[in-house]
Amino acid sequence: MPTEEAGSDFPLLYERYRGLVRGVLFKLCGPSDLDDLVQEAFLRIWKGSPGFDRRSAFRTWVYAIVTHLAADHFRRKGRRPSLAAVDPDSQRGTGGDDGAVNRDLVRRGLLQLSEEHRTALVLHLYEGLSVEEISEATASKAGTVKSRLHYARLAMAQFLESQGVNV
Amino acid sequence: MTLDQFLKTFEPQAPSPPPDEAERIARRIERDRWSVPRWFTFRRAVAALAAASVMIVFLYSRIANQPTGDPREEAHQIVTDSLKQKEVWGESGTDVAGYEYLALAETVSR
Repeated sequence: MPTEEAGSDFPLLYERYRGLVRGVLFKLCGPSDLDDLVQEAFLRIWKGSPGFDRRSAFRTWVYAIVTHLAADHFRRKGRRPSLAAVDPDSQRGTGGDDGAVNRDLVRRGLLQLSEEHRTALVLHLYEGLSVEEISEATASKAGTVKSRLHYARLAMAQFLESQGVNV
Repeated sequence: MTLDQFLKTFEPQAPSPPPDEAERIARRIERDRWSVPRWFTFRRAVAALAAASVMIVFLYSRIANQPTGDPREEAHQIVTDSLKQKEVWGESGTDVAGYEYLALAETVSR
């Protein structure tokens, strides 16, 4: 195995990045096919790490792999993740408490965004990536990323409002 | 609460991975290591084989026609080729062919 960042063995790589990979793929693609996508992501990371050119941080490179994988997934499926792909129990809000209901609302809101808007918002808000890092991971210009973030927030606010949440 | 605060507070949580996920992926990596690469297709294999054959034929013809460095040998080759073109180099080698050979050999050697 290839890079120091990735470690000398697969279990180490998996331990370091399993939370990141699974979390981002879940927010970008929803729960259906999640296990398969995680497996595919680790395969790509493992196989691609010998060619990692160190021009960016290894972590940013991992984000790039994951976002490209999500894009490939949508292209293969020919659609964005539909709400039908979401577990119906969670749509109703398990347990009925506000936290679960709101979490489900946020997830549904994210899945209604376009792929580019969702990717920008997830990487910025939940993964803490800067605009420059997102532009590197998604191979987009910084201005484009800013614009995507703006419209993603706007769409999320409208969605939440339509569901009776005022923020 | 602002929009960002709301989204962060109620961040969607991914379901837990299967307990044997790491082992499954490690097994898949091991399996893939010995499998035929994705880029390998029948068409590409045939194309590569054809290209290799052309290259071998080309190299062989270059080596076969390479001058030996011996002037007498080269003169002989030139005369032989020339006589072949004139169609006088019979199977048994006639007098005419022999005469032509000597005449040409003399010209070439000069």
